[in-house]
Amino acid sequence: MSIAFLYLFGALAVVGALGTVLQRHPIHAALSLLGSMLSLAAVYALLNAHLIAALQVIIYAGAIIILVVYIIMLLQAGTDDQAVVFRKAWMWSLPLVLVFGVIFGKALFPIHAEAAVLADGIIVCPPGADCEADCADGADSDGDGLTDCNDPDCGGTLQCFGTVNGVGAQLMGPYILPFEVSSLLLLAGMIGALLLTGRRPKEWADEPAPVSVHTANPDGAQAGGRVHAPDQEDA
Amino acid sequence: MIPIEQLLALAFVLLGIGACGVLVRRNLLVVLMSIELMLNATNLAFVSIARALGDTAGHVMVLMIFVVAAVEVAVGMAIVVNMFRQRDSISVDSFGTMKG
Amino acid sequence: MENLLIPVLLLPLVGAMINGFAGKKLGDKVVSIVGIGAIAIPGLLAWLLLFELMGMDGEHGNHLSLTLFEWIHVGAFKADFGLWLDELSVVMLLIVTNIGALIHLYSVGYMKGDPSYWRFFAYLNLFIFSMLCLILGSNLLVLFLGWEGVGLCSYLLIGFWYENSDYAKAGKKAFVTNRVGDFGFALGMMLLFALFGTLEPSEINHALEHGLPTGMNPKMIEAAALLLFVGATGKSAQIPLFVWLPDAMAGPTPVSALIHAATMVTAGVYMIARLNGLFFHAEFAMHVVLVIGAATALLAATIGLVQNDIKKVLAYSTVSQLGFMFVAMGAGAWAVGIFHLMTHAFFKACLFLGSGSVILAMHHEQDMRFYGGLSKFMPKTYWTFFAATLAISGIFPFAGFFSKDEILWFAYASDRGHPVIYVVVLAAAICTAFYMFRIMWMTFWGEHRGVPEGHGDHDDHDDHSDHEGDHDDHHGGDPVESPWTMTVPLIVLGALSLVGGFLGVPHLLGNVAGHFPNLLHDWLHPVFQYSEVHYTHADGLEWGLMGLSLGLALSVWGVTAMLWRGKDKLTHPLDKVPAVHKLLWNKWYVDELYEVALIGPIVKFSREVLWKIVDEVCIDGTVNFVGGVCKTVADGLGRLQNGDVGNYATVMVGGMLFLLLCLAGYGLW
Repeated sequence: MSIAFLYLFGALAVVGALGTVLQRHPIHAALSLLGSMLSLAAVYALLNAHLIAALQVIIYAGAIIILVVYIIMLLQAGTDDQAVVFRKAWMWSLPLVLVFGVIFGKALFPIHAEAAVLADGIIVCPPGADCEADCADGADSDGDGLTDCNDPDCGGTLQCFGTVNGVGAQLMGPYILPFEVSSLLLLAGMIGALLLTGRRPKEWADEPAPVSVHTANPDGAQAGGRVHAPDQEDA
Repeated sequence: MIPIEQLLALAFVLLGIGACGVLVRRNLLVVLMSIELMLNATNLAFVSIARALGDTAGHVMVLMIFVVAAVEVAVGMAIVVNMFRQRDSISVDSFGTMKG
Repeated sequence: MENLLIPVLLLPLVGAMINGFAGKKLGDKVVSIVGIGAIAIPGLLAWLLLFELMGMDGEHGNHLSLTLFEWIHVGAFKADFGLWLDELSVVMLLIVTNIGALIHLYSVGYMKGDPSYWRFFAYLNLFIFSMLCLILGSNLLVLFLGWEGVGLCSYLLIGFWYENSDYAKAGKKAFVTNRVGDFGFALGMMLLFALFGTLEPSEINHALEHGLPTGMNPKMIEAAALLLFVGATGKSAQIPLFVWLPDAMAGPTPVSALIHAATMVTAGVYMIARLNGLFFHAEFAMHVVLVIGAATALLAATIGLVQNDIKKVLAYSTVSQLGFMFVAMGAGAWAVGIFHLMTHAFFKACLFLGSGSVILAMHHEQDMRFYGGLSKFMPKTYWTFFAATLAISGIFPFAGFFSKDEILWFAYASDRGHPVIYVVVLAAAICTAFYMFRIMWMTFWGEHRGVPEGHGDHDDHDDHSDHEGDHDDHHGGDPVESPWTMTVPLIVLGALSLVGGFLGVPHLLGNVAGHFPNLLHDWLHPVFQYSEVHYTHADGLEWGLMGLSLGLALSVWGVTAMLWRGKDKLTHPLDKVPAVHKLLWNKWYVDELYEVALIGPIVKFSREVLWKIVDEVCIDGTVNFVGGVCKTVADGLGRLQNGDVGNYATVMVGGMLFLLLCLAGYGLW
C-alpha cells in the first residue's frame, strides 16, 4: 500500500516540477511548485522522515511559496514576459542537462550495492514510546551493524528514526556546531535582505548602492567596476 | 520493497527539471523557483539514503538545506525586488552588466 | 692576536658604509675623518701585526690565521671565509694600509669642494676593504672576491666624474678588459681545485713543497699557472690586456696613485708570489711570465717617451714597472719582485700625487707643454717629485736603484732568466730614465710657459667645472703650492723613495757595508723557501752590470740636460724620425689593432647576428608569438563573457559535467 503511495506522490512531484518549469505565468509556476513540494512532503513521510515531512510543509509550502507568490503579485511580474518565455539556450542546455543527469545518476549507483533495498512497511514510533531508553543500550538484535534504535529492518523493535526525538538528538549532539552556525547564516541573510530592500538613510544617498546591478548613482564609473564606455566595448 | 535507485532516479529527474528551468527560463522568479526545485531534489536524495542506511545524519543535512533555502529565497527575492525597481523588468536577459 | 685581523679588514668596510649611506648628510669634515680613520687605524694595527709576526719563531715560517665564517660547503668543495697573514701578506698589508692612509689624507686636499666628496671616500674605503680581502684571503675564492671587488671599485673610481662620457667609457674599458682576465683566473681556480682539491694557497704550496705529487700531470700545472697569469695580465695591465690602464687615468689623481699605481695593479704580482709553489713547478708558464713582463716593460716605456700628458706618461711608466715585477717573478726572484712592488708603491704613488699637486696648481691642465719652471712655485712638490724621479730612474741610493738593479741582475743570472731578457729590460730602464727626466725638464725646470688664454678656461668649464671649487680664485695667477694635506703625504712618500731601498740591500752591497742584511729578502724567505730558483753567483759580473745600469741612468740624465737645458722644451729628439714618433705617439697602434681585430668583429657580430637575428628574430619573435597567441585566445574567450547570466549558469553545469567525467576517467566510481 505504502509503495503505491510512494509511486503516486513521486509522479505528482514530477508533474509539479514540470509545471514549474513549463508554465508560462509565474503564478502558475509557483502553484505547481507548491504541488510538487507537498507531494515530496508525502514521500518524506513515507520514508519515515516525519520531522522533515512536517518541516517541508511548514517551510516550503507555508513560507517560501507564500513569499514567492507575494513577490509575484507585488511586482506584477507575469505581464512583461508573456511573449518569450524561454531563452534560446534551451536548444543546447537541455541535452546538457540530460547528459548531466545520466552521469550523475550513474555516479550514485554504488549505493545500490551497499544499501540493498528499502524495507516495506512504514514503522511509526508510537506516542510515548521510550525511544531514548531503547537507543541507550546500543543493542543490535539482527547483527547488521545498525543499533536497533536506528535500524529500520529490525521488525518489532521500537523505532525513533526520523522523529523529532531522533533527529533532535542528532542535531543537539554531534551536529551542534553546524546547527549553531546555521543561525549565523540566517542572521546574515536577514541583514542582507534588509539592506537590499530597506529604505536607506539619507546620509547614504551619495554612496553607490551596495548590490544593485545597474546603480542609480549618476557617477557610475566608480560603482560598476567595469563600466561600459562605448569606446571600450570592442577593445 | 522499493529499490533505492528508483527514489534516487526520482531525485535526478527533479534535479534535471530544476536545472532546465534555471537554464531556460527568462523570468527571474521562475529561475529562483527552479533552484528551490533542485534543492528539493537533493533533499529527497538525502532522505532516501538516510532511510536506506538507517542514519539520521541525512535528516540533519536536510535541515541545513532548509536553512540555506530559506536564506536564499529571502536574499534572492530582495535582489529581484531591487532589480525590478531599477530596470522595471525581471527578465534575465535585461541584466547584461556582467559582460567581460 | 689574530683577532686584530677583524678590525683591520672590517673598518674600511664600515667606513665605506657610513660614507656611502650617510655621507651626504654628514658633511665633508666628518666624511674625511671617517674615511681617513677607517684606513689609518688598520694601518696602525698592521704594524702591531707585523711585530707579532716578528716575535713568532716557527721553524718553517709563521702565520696568523682566522676563519670568520663558513662560506661555501658543497660536497668536497670547501671554502671558508678565512684570513691568512704571513710574512708576504703582512708586507702587502703594510703597503696598502699605510700608503692608502697617506693617499686618503691627500684626497682631502685634492677633492676639496667636489660635490660628490662623500662618494669618493666611500669608494676609496670600499676599495681598501676589497684589497684587504685580496691580500688576506686564506683561499683563492676570498682572494677572487677581493680581486673582483677592487675591479669594481676601480671601475667606479675611473668613472667617478661620469658626467664626462669619455671618463665613463674609460671605466667601462677597464671593466671589460678586466673581465677577460678574470675569466682566465676563474678557470685557473677551477683547474686548481680539480688538481688539488683545495683552493688554499698554503695547502697548494705545501703539496708542492717536495716536487710534483705523484700522478699529477705537469701539463695541468702549466695550464693552471697560465690561466691564472691571464688573470694577472688583466689586473696588472700586461700585454695583451694593458690597454685599460692608460685610459684609467681619467679618474681623480689620488685614485691613479692608490689603485692604478701602488696597490690594485700589483695584485697580479702578489697572486703569483702567493702561489709561488705552483709557478715554480710550471716552468713554461714562468717563461711566459718572463717574456710578457719584459715585452710589456719595453713597449710601455717606449710609448711613455713621447706622450705629453703627464698622467699618461706616468701610466705607461706604471705598466712598464709592472712589467719589471713580472720579469722578477718569471725569473723566480720572488722576493725581488715583491721588493720592487714595494719601492714602486713608494715612488710611483709619490709621482702620481706630485703630478696631482701640479695638475691642481695648473687648474686641471694635464698637458706638460703648458708647464715649466714649477720648481719655483711649488718647492715641496718639486723636491719630492725629484726624489721619486731619481728613485724610478735607478740612481743610487734611491729606492728604485736597489730593486730595479736586482731585477736586472736576476733577469740575467737566474737559471730561468736569459741575457736577451736582460737587454730588453735594461733598454726599458733607459727609456724610464729618459721619460722621467723629460717630465722634470718640461714641468719643473726652465721657464714657466703657462696655459694660453682660452685653453684652460675651456677645459675647466667643460670638464671640471664641478670639482674646481675653491681653487678657482687662483685662476690666471701663478701656480701655488698645495695645502698641507697634500704636501705631507708627498714628503713622507718622497722620504720613503729615498730610503725605502735599504730594506732590500742586495747581498753584494751589504757585504761591502759590513754585512748589512737584506732585510726584506730574509723576512720573506720562509714563504719562498721551497721555490728557490738557482742563479749564477758572479760578484764581478754583478758589480759590472750594476755599474752599467747606474752609469746609463746618469748618462740619460746628462743627455736630457743636453737636449733641453736652456732650450726649447717642446722639441723632442724623436721628431727627427717622424715614423717612429708617430708609431709611439699612437701607442704602437695597439688600440687600433684591437679595434680592427677584436672589437670591430665582435661589435659587427653582435649587431648583425646577435641583435638582428638572435634578439629580434629568435627572442623577440618567441615572446611576441607567445603574447600574440595569448591575445588571440583571450579575445576569443572574452566573447564568452557576454554578460548573459543564463550562459554562465550553462557553462557552470558544463563544468560540473566535465569534472564528473574526469572522476569517471580516474575510475573513482
